[in-house]
Amino acid sequence: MRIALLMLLLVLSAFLPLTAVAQHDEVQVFLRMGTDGLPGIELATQIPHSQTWLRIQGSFFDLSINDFATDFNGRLSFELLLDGSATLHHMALWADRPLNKKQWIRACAGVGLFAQSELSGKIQLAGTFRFNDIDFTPEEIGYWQGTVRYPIPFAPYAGISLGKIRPERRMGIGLDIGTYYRLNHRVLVDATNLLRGNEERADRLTELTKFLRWTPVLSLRMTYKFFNHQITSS
Amino acid sequence: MKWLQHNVKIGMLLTMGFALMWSSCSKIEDIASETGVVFDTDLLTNFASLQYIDATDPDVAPEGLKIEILGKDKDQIYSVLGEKNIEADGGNIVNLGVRKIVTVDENDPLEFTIKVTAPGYLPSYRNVTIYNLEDFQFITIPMVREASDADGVAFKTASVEFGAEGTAETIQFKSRTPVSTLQPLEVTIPAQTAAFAANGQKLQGEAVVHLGQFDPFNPMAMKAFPGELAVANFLNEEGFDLGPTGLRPLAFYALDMYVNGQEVKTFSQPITIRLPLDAQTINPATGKPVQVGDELAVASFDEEAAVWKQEQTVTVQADNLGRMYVQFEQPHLSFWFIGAVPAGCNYTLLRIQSDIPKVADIFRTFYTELVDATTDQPVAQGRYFRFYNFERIFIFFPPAGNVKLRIWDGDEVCKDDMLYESPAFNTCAGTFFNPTDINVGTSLRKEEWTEIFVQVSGVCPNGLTVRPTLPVLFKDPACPAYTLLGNLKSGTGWTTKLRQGQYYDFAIIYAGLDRRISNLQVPTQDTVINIVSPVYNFTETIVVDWVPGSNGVGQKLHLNYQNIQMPQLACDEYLMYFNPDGTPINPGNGN
Repeated sequence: MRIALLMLLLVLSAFLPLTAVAQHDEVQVFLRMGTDGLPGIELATQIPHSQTWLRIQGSFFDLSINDFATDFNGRLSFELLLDGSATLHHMALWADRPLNKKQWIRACAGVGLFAQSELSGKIQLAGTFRFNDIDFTPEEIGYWQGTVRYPIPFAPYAGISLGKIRPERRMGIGLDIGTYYRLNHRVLVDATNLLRGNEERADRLTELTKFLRWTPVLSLRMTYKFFNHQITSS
Repeated sequence: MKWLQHNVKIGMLLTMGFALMWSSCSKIEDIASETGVVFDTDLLTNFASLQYIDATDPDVAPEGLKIEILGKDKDQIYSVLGEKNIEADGGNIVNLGVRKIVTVDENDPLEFTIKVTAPGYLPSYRNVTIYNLEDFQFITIPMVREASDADGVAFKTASVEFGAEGTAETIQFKSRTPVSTLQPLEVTIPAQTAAFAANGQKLQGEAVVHLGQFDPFNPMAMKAFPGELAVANFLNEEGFDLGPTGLRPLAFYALDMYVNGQEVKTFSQPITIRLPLDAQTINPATGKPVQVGDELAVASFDEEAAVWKQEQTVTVQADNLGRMYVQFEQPHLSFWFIGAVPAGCNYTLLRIQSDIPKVADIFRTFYTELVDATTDQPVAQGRYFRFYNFERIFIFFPPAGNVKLRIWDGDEVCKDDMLYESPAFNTCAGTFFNPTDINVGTSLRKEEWTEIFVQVSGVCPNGLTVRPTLPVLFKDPACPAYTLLGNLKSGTGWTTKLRQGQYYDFAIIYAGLDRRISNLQVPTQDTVINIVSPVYNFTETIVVDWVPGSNGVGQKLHLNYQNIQMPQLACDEYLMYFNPDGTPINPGNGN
């Protein structure tokens, strides 16, 4: 999926200048790195006779941590084993409108299409636990795992964008600050052994975690000219 | 580097987490407190509970129980809170648990012996064989008070003076028989017999003698029979294990002597036991009246190893007047029996046909006995089974021979009506691939059952929701002992054992708890029951909702006892071993 999306963007980067974009303008190619993508790629072009830029991007955010043992700096008398993962695979179409004359600050709005978006965390004991006369294994105690899923793949985006899209030099740096708003989300809980029974608290957790519908974006955008020249239409 | 990678990843996750929180007014602690954590209370699998009652006065619970687990799988048995030192709950209920990782089946059942002693009582030994941990067993065991007659038990009390040279003269006394069909045992202590304690110490002084004789045909009396009537191991005279064996006593007795409170175990020379036999006495080995020349086994119970051992083989003789008897020398004191020891089978497998579906909401068990097809003598201790259609029931180590299965409406103490008696079948014929079919038909439904569905949950002040997993006991107020009503599992349970409009006593005696409610009526209509707890000083309500059955009459009852605002004391009792977040703590930490 990830490779397919990247290939699609690279193909778009080659063909967009010839088709969708006005002939007199150029297409900028960016690398993105931040909470919405690690990595991501973005193409931007200015709408003819307008100060508005269109940006299309594809980003991947796959992060997982497995078997991380911690006692939270000694706050617990035993170690917990943490597993966590965040997966965001999405494409987005944004429009930028400059807010100042030099166009280094812009209002930005758009929509994202999330092919995959899931947050997950799992907690269990890291080692055996002496309880009365038994050394209980973590498997006996059980684990708690929560997963956040977003059934609706589309999400509107709003934010501000800092830094010029068209760099004056070969490299430029910009920053996107904003947030997607996911139209729906659902918390799933899986718990075993002593912690079983928490599954039905998933609905309540879903209610209490509506803030998770806000998917904040804090993303560094590197305005790098891949081919050491601007891609321009012929 | 791995550490660095982890921390980089953690840093990224935290950044994302902070970013998420930054976009919200909610706080994690608010979520935790508002959501609460559901916590089950079954740390181990509670597969059996044993209730010890006084055989003479079943209303009385023996005091000062000391519990010891013996046998092959003793290391796997714990209290339900994971303690090796198992103590009785409520004074007389022993709840047993195994770790949840333990698995058993018919090829590798859980086998152990539970030994219970109490001051003033004969020690109790009960073999337990479990091949399905879901097949919860609630076993009631009458403990025989020394020198006190009980159902099927009669005691003779005597005194014997042991001087410096032992007994001054030959001493003779007879037992008292619990039923007229039994003959009294005659005990002879030769002159100059010295008595010794278990540690070899010579005992001098007046010995108090208790000779208890048990009726081997009385099921309640035979519940005091040490171990089991059908055993996995039986030692012959050379100490060789004969494997599965049936123990079929013709006479069963316990002879105890105490000198200044110290128990006599051995003598400087054997004492003599003589058992007269009349012509009507059935030889359990042949199923026919005993005859001169018949051979009987004499066995004693090894209290250390919890196993029966054959001491000798005796031959039926006749005196000058033609009166039959057996006579033998007994070198030590313990439980002894005279009878037959037929070889047994590893198990007999029964395949049940009944109108009770397996996948039923209602979990109901029936008390079941296995008796000799000819003599009605119990050949194994009673157990509880569900008898659902196509259930396969294993009965372990039964003696070879023809037996009958009896199913009762009540429990082992208050049996009520017998619902079913099977045709005779051979125990060793029921094999894994060719089980014995038992068709109980519709006989187990003596009346239309009232299906009662119970939901229980409580919320602690810290938001923790407790859903108990424990056995709930009940009894008819006229019955002296509790029996199993049903098992709550994660706060949910079903039962059909109650009848509308009748009054019952209920109890939860488990994991240190002892909560009892007396004389509570089963509602006959929608209502709200107020429960006032003098212990916790709070009042709660149970919403009772009748659901009409198929014939329009209310036959299903929903007892909703949820969202109980649990007092801190109750939470502390339930959760004394756990942190508020549900993680267990070491009770030694003082929390």
